[in-house]
Amino acid sequence: MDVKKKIRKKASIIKNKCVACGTCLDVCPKNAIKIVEGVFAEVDEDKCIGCSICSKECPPSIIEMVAKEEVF
Amino acid sequence: MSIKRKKKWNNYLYIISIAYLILGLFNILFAWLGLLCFMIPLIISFSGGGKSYCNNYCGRGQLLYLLGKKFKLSRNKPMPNFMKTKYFRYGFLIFFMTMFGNMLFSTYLVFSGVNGLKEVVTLLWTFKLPWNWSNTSFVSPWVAQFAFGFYSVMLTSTILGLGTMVLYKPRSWCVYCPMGTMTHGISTIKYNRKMKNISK
Repeated sequence: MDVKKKIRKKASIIKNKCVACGTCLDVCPKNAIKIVEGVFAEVDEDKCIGCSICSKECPPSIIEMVAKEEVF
Repeated sequence: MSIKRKKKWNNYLYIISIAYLILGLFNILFAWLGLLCFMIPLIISFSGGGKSYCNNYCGRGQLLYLLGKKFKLSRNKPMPNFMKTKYFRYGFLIFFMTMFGNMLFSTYLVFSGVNGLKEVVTLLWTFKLPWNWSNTSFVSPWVAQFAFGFYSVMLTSTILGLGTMVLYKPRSWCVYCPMGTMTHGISTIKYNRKMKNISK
């Protein structure tokens, strides 16, 4: 059977460098980011569309866009 | 890409931030209101709310974002690496709190009658601006002295915030904001404790 695979970019946060300022929360168009107990931000990969807005806005620039494989 | 979202009341808190600075120009005693910006984040953080003050209610963060993004005043360049380190952030917090303690001490000196009221606002902990148009005669001198000190702190941090907003990304101030560092520290300690208890 033919399995379709698609490479998609998803936001990935370096947790130990995150200052939990909440800039990414405000800019995410899909509300895919939440702050875990005021310590670090976490991306819901199911909701993330890989637009990379958060990555551009993150003040300490610690959000990376990582290529992820999705199987359909 | 612009994001259209339904605006909530807490999206307009930048107005309070601007109003605070303007009110201070009219009468320095309004500086006392700034204590709210100090107390509320700490109370929220201690009561387990994490950094929801920074995330939802910080007027200064919103103001910096508005100026940097909507008014395009920011260069939008990444910050230098040293400014993101824990050493810099906690170092700045310690420096800031030392200066805050210094300000409290000078308030105490006025309170105990050793020094008289100095009607100056100190910018960036060095430049003294004469500020003698405020009528503070109806309160005791130490109340006015604290107001001068506190307004200096708020103005200085606004200037630093605006500076890094222009040079780097709009909300760069949030990375080394002493209140942010403090609430982040508190939240981290709470989180680590919780994780330890879970793993036990």
